[in-house]
Amino acid sequence: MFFLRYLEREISIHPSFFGANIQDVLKQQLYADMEGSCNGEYYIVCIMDIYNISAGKVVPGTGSAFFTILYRAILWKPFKGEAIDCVVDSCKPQGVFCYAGPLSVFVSKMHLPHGYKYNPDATPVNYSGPDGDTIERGTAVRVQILGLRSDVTNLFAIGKMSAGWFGIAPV
Amino acid sequence: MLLELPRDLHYPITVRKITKRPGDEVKVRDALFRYTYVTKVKHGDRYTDEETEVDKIIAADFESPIDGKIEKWLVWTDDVIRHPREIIDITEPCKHAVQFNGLCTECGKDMTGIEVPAGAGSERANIQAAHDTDKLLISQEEASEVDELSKRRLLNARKLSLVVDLDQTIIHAAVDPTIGEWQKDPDNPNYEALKDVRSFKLSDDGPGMQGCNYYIKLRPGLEQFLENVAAMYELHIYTMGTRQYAQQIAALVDPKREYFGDRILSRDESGSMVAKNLTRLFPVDTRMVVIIDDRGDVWKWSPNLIRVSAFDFFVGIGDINAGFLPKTQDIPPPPKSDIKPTTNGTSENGEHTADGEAAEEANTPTDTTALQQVVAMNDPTMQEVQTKAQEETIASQLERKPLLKLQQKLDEKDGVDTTAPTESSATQNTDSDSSSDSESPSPTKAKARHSILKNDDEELVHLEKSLRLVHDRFFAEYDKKRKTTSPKTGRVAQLSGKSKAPLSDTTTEPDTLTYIPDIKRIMPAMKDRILDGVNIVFSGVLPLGTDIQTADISIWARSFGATITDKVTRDVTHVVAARVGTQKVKTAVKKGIKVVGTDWLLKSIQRWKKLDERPFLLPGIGQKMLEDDNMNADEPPKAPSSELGAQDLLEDNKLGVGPDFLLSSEDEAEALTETDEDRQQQPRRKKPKLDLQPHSADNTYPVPEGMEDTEEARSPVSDINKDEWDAIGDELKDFFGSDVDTEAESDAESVRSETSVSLRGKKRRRDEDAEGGGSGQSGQEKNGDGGRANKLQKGSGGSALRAVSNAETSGKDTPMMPQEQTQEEYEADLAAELERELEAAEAAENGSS
Repeated sequence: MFFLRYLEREISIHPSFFGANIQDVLKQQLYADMEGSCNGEYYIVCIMDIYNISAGKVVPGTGSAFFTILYRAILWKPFKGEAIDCVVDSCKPQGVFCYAGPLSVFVSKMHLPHGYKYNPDATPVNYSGPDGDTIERGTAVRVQILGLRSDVTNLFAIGKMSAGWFGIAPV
Repeated sequence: MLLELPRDLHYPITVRKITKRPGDEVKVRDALFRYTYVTKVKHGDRYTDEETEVDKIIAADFESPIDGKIEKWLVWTDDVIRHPREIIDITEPCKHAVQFNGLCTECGKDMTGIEVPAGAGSERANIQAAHDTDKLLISQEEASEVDELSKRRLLNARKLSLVVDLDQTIIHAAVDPTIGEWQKDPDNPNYEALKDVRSFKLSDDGPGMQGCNYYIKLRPGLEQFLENVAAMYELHIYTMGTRQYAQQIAALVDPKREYFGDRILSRDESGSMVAKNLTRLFPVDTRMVVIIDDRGDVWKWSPNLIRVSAFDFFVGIGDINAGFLPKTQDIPPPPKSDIKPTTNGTSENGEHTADGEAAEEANTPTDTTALQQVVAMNDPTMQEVQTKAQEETIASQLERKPLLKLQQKLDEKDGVDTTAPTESSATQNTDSDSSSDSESPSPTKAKARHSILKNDDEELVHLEKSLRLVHDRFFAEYDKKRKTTSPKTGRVAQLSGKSKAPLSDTTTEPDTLTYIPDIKRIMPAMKDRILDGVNIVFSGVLPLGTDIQTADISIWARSFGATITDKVTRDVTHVVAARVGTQKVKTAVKKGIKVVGTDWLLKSIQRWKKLDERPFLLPGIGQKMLEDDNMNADEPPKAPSSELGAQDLLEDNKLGVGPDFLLSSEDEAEALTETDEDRQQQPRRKKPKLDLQPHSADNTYPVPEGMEDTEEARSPVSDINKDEWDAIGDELKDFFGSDVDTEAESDAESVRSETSVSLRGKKRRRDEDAEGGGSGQSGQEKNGDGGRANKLQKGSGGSALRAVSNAETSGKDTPMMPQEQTQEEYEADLAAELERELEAAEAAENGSS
């Protein structure tokens, strides 16, 4: 699910960047640091705007300056039970790896749509269904998230496609 | 699932009360039953300080480690349990057999939380299942299941699995920007070779190598190789490069993704930066797996491994992804045979191995042991340091442009060579200090400029042959096993009752897996035969201070059945030398042992065939021998005349004692047949003594009368007994093995010859007896093709006889035959000649420099 959220970030700037365009430096730094990052809970998809940059505070001893930036960003936080569209990355004997944007989702072969069979000899390797459909690298699928797990910098999910309306996404 | 009691309970325990009934649903940590155990507790007395140990009964609950439904109990109230045993059958709704990043993929439960009891969570799935991620783990049962399926599939397709390394095995990568420049310049001497070099950029590179081009040269013949091999093997990539790198390479070598598919394992998922592990890809069974890699050490010389020679196209670059590994040991190439020892070329070759970075490189690998590396790997900060170090090496390659320097040097040399060949040795000697390459360019005269990049690698052709051999052998054995055993099972099924007959289809089906032969047995057996009986001494090949037995090339050679020795003893069959003039080479020449260049060994290994040594004999020494042999083999044996007596003696003797040379010069093809190989593989030094007995019996053997008489007359040591002989023999051996001193040697020889001559009479009688005992040998010998026919027969038919005479010599005294004496003389001559030659060469060299 996507959210718009007010966030805060502290950035320290080396004295060599002090100058008229320090605001730009800060913004660039913020974009570079935060956009596309994940804190283990959500992904920051895009920074909408920066609505406040605090006055800088020089850190004694180093000469760097600290700024606190308040900004607004679009987040994506996957939830258990949520239905997401993914692209299949690879097929394994145990199931299928897909990606929903940055999120890696694994769907066990148990949770593939009914009747799908693993074909290791096909190029590319695929799962084929009773009606001739195949799930292979690049196929668009709709997945329900069964479980989520977070790392310090990333999220992982497992999903299923076995219920109605899930599986190969209609084109 | 049957639950077993854990080991850490306080046995014996007594079951007191069972709290859950069959059919009940249980959750993790629900009490299953209550039990009591007896333990000793210290009991302090209230009034005195004494403590007494008292038995105390303590009650506890046993909690269920898993969720599920109880099927049945295997213990009952008041049972006493003394050992861990199965107590209950619980059916689980989910076995958590496949886990992704700590989540069960089937039920979605988190398997790593603290609420999961030990042994029931993530430990249940501990085998990495996928090539491209280390996050997907499966349980042992699941792994076996997958393994079984894939084996069946491969057997049906009559394929094996082949694990392929990338760097320096099928491709060579470099980042030197010079390559890009050369590619754009059609005038560059390297332009031809660089035509099919492709390049890409990686986005995950660290700073300093951002946006640098990776230049990839595919090993010549790779496309054909992959196509042919893919028909026999299912291919996997296992590389020490990063994931992105591996995928880029895969896209280059296999654009349609038909050979490798997703079966790519990079260092990101490998779990180790310093070692490759077959169980990472084949956790259950490696019976059907073959590996090809240019490094044996990372695989710990697994029996599944076919070690291929490194593809070193961009000379001096090495493996850009081997930053974490100990450095490879460079094997210096043999001196080029088209250079005469007196020209500066050879002297430069010799220095090349010893000087500059080559020596540096050789020194570094021994500093860090594998253990240190492993320890270092476990430390994340170290890992970071090493990653940085690797980035730096790449960055430095970007800056230093080693290829450009090499080419410049070569150009320079060319220029000097053409203008003033005599001067060049001096200038190059100073230059070679900074040379970063041990491979010297071949000095063939070509266009104006020479290229340092050569497109002449042919490893893949031979590799394909070897792989085909292994594949054919594997399936031949598989078919044989299946044929011989399947009727039996049918018969057994018949005998054991008709009821089983309809089941036979289903029962024999899984049996096919038991017929699978083991590559780990088949392949080493095939390889072992190739250099069987070859006993190698290295000279000038390995840097000083390396352990000869654990050196890369030694292990490699040994995997082909060769034996590696450090001293030139009588058992040695080949001296593999990087240059002439070493002590070992001299000794070997003296003893008549073949001295070959390193490429003989490498090519024999590459082709899985013991090659004829002649083209690889070292210039100067070997070729001299070769010429002599050819001369002897071609010339019909001369009738001994009085003036030429001594000369003839020498020559005939050589025919007699040099079966290897003789054979090889006679008929190459014949030399490769089994029996001949056997003969060749006999330790050479044993031969003269034993083989030549019939010679003395043979009257055609030209011993000048006078010589014999005089020697016999002044034999002062004829009464030396056996022990003394042994001692003398040992001493002599040591003496010859260590230093060269012609004078002392000739002394020793004369002693030997004298005694041996004195014993000859006795010996001759014995031989005559043996012949009288009915071997057809004597007749044929007397027909008189001289020593040669005799020799051949001896070699093929005489193994039993040899064994007997071996026993004899160890049992009785050891008579020295005149042949031995003359051979020594001949060798001394040869050695002296050689030394003269070498001296002359040195003198010439000194003069020129």
